[in-house]
Amino acid sequence: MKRRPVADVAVLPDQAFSHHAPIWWGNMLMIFIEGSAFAILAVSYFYIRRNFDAWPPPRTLLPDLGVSSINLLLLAISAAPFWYAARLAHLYEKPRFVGWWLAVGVVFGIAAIVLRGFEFHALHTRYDSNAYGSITWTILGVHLAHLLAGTIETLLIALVMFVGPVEKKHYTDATVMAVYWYFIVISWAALYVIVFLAPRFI
Amino acid sequence: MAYAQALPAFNDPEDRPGVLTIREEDEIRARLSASWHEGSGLWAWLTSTNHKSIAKRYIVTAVVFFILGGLEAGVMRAQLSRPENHFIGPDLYNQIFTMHGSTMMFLFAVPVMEAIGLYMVPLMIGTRNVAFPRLNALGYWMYLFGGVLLYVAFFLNTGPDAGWFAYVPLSGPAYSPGKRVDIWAQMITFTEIAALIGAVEIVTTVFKQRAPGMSLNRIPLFVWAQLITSFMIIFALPAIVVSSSMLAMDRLIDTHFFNPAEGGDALLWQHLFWFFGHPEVYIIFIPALGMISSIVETFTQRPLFGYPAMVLSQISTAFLGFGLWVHHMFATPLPQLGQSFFTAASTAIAIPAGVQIFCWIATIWSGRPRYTTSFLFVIGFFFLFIIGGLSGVMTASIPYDLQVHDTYFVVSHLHYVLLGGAVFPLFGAFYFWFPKITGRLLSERLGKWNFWLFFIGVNVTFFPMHILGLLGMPRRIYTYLPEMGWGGLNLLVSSGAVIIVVSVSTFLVNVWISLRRGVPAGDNPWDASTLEWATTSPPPPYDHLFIPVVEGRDPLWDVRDRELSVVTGLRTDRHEGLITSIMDAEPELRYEFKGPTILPLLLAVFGGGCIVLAIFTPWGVTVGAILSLAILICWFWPTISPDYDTPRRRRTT
Repeated sequence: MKRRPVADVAVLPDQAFSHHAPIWWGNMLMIFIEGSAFAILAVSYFYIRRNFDAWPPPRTLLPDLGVSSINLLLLAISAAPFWYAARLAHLYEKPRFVGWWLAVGVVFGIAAIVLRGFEFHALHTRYDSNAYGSITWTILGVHLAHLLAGTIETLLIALVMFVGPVEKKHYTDATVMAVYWYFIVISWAALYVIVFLAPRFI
Repeated sequence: MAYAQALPAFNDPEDRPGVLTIREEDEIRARLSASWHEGSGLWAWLTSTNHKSIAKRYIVTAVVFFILGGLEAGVMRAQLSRPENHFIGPDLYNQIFTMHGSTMMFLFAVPVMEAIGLYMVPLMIGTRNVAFPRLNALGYWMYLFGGVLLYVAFFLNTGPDAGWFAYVPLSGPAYSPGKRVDIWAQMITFTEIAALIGAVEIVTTVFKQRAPGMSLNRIPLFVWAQLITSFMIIFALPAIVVSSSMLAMDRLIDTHFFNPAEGGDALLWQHLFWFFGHPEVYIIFIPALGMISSIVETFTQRPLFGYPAMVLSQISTAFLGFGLWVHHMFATPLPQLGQSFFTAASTAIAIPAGVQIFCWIATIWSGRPRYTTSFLFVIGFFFLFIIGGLSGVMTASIPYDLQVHDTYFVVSHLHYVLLGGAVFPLFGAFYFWFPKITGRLLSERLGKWNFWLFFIGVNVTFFPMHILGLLGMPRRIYTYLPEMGWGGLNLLVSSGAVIIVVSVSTFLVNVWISLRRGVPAGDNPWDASTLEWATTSPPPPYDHLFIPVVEGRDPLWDVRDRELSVVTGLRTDRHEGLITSIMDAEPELRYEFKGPTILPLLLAVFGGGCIVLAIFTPWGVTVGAILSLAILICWFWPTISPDYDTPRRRRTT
């Protein structure tokens, strides 16, 4: 079969942001997968609720709102350094500027992980006490895994930004990292409502 | 940002290059071959990130599991061929029916459908590799190790024995001590990772790497089917991820998700399992619909009738597929409203299936059908799938379902839809695409033997099961008494299984002969219309010499009497592809595919090893996370090729 060139793509860029970039889609699909897993956990929580007369079960205290609310606030604020890092990346600013803001994000991440340890205590139950304990611990634990992964990933991208060699595609990685962090924050807002507020009303 | 505006389209006729000469093409071919060359030997094999190499081993591995699952079915049929048979005992029988179901669903049907997608989709949309080549390699290794884990355990007499659905409380810590069910749960972990990886690959590749001009309304139906299936995988598999982890935790660290004594719920398992398990059926079936569309279009030599209706039917099948799961649970106490809803949804799914069948019939009716082996398998599909669909509509009705629940009637139904609905189109696809993958045609004569033996075998095996079910024979029993009067029909069923074995053996012989001395196929032996036939058979590592430009729904038929339009300007000194926009496939940017690396295999070995370790101690998860992190750091280690940003040294097509 004969071929006739009709266009030359050599002038096209080799990096892009947002939905133009394949990695943005890879990340978004990952978020769909993990968002579905959180949704399944939430459904399981309410399904198990039906087996109990009281929720939390008798002789179990309501989960404390103190440390969990602080953590929620902290996570909400943590979106800001990620947003700013992504903005600088979009503008192709110097890599270390992006790196510093990501490092601020890492500090927030570590703080949230430490507070998560206290949140487990604030549940006043254990994973092996009963089904209530199992589902609440699992929800906190699965989200903790996301916090750990997200924080380590951010740390690595920040290191690349400081140490290099930095390519344009690493700017895309920084913006995609921010999207993933927003997912971690937003999913926690929903799970916080379920684990810490819902027992007061249902 | 309108990236597409930057594309120079040779508007000035003076600048417009002519048709490429053979010499120009040869030069580009030599340069692409040099940079995409994979090498040979064990190391090249272990480090490959080419979608075709990976998909080929995926297909071969899945066929090996199909044969193993078939042999297990053969052992069950030998045991059931007469009453009070002592060929195998109840314990081994439990393991074997669990192995058969788990193998066929998790290790054969889903992977083989995805594997054909991973091979064909990049070729059909005109790109050079899948979006994330290293991740793709990881998917295969995870799948392989999951399968090996299951079979090693089985040969150590630790094969799972609680059914492929592992219902609690039978599969829980109280009734299944030992490690059998844990093996099952971790095999699920491996295969779900593999399936999710494949789905992410296919969605991203289809969204972003279509040839310029292949707008959404020009995507081949097989690619649509793969895209829709991948979205189903993305939304359905998390349910089994969560539930199999809950089961493993109940067994390993004493959580109480499914323990009624502590507020857990056995029905929660059924809901979560079938919320995955029913879409799973469509995850197997929708790619088969895509294969049928490719085959019907090619062998009737006309564009498919009702393309928009076909696409919409596939999408609505996928949506409805998520609303059917409770029809597996009609025998459990459910609210009346729920029962009615799921009956209605189960009946409604017959509508999009019907629309597609009528579209294919209209295509065949108005085309010039050629009755090749591929096409015969599609015709066989019509007969078998309609029988399976009708028994499906019957069991959608609750009073009837309660009567036949857990009997051989259901075994018959599910085998008609899975064998008829998925395996027949799959064999059609084998005959259709084998020449593209290997460069050699399969024998049509042996193919026809293959088809007719299969068709007769399936009907002899599974039709009498309807009657056995109505006579009250329950599923999953290892033997029965002569007074039940099931002996004659069971012997007939078992003899049908022998015919299927002969048929599949014919296929294997056909493949073996063809690989040795098959007729060379040429680029496009069937005069098909889609882009995978625009390249050589087998395709070169870079898939297409130039990225084609698509001007219609049937690109190769559109350019029958003129040249194929292509784009130039992609770099040939590294693995580069073209990224286009989602809706209209306008060129946006150039994109580098990662080359060969051992890291995916290492990640699978260490990560996978720890998944196995987690069967014995929860520390497996911790160790696995740390090891995987170490490998992922290497994976994402920033490296810059020496010619980064030195345009002088770049070479392009």
